[in-house]
Amino acid sequence: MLLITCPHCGPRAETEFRNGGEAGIVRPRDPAALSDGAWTGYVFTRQNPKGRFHERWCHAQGCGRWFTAVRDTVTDRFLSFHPAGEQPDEAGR
Amino acid sequence: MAERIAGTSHLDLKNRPSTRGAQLRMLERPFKAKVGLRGGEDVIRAVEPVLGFALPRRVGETGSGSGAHAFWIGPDDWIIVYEPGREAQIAQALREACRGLHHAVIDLSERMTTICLEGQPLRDVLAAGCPLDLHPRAFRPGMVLQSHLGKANVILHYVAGNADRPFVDLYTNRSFADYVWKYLENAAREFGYEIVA
Repeated sequence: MLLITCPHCGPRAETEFRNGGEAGIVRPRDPAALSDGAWTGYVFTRQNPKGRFHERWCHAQGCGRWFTAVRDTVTDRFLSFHPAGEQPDEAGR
Repeated sequence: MAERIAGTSHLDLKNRPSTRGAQLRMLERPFKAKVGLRGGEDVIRAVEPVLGFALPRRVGETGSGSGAHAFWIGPDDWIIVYEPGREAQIAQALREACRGLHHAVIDLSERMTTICLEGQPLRDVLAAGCPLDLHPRAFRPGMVLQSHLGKANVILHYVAGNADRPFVDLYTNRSFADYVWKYLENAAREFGYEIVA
């Protein structure tokens, strides 16, 4: 089982959390103006990298807050945790 | 007022088999008053004089005074627990204190139930379905933590006692009472348990 460090609650078991996929996806300001291709990209296209990945997690069975974690998808090792609104400092994803 | 029905009423706890004198004692206290409070620093300042004690600011902390406990649920989120019967009065007092502020005061008394556990085996029993570190060095009297027991989300409040004889109140949704109660019974079977009803 993974230990995930909630920015508010500290290290907790993976079973308390829910994964929310890639972090930092910005909703387009005017969806109606988008082409079908651009909208498809927003809704479905994700990076799925091999290595560092910024992803959202929700401490569903704890404080209920969303936060961002940087995880290495090869080793499953977590590199950092950030409360909502805080940008992970390194761009490497 | 409508008749209140406990989450485990269909289990007939009074006549349910259990071991008299067992180390672990369990009971349900379904109607404790629970009031949810949300808000920022301005709400904290407005509410603390009404409560008469400070709201907890960090995970695991509780605030207590005059028969009440405030649990830290999230960075701007608390549940305040009283003995049964005072929920409407408390909620009203908090609402008045927060008038004009961005806040939420919700009476959760009917949503949640409380299962009280007492006795040395309760750490092992809870560990059967809860991933928290329940070692006496980590989970100490006065603490409150949220997690899950099996698939049900629970709030564990270490009310009092010591490592040999802890008292823990387990709060869960009323509709999970059947699941949680049977889960605890299953886990407690190897230690023996007494149902106090």
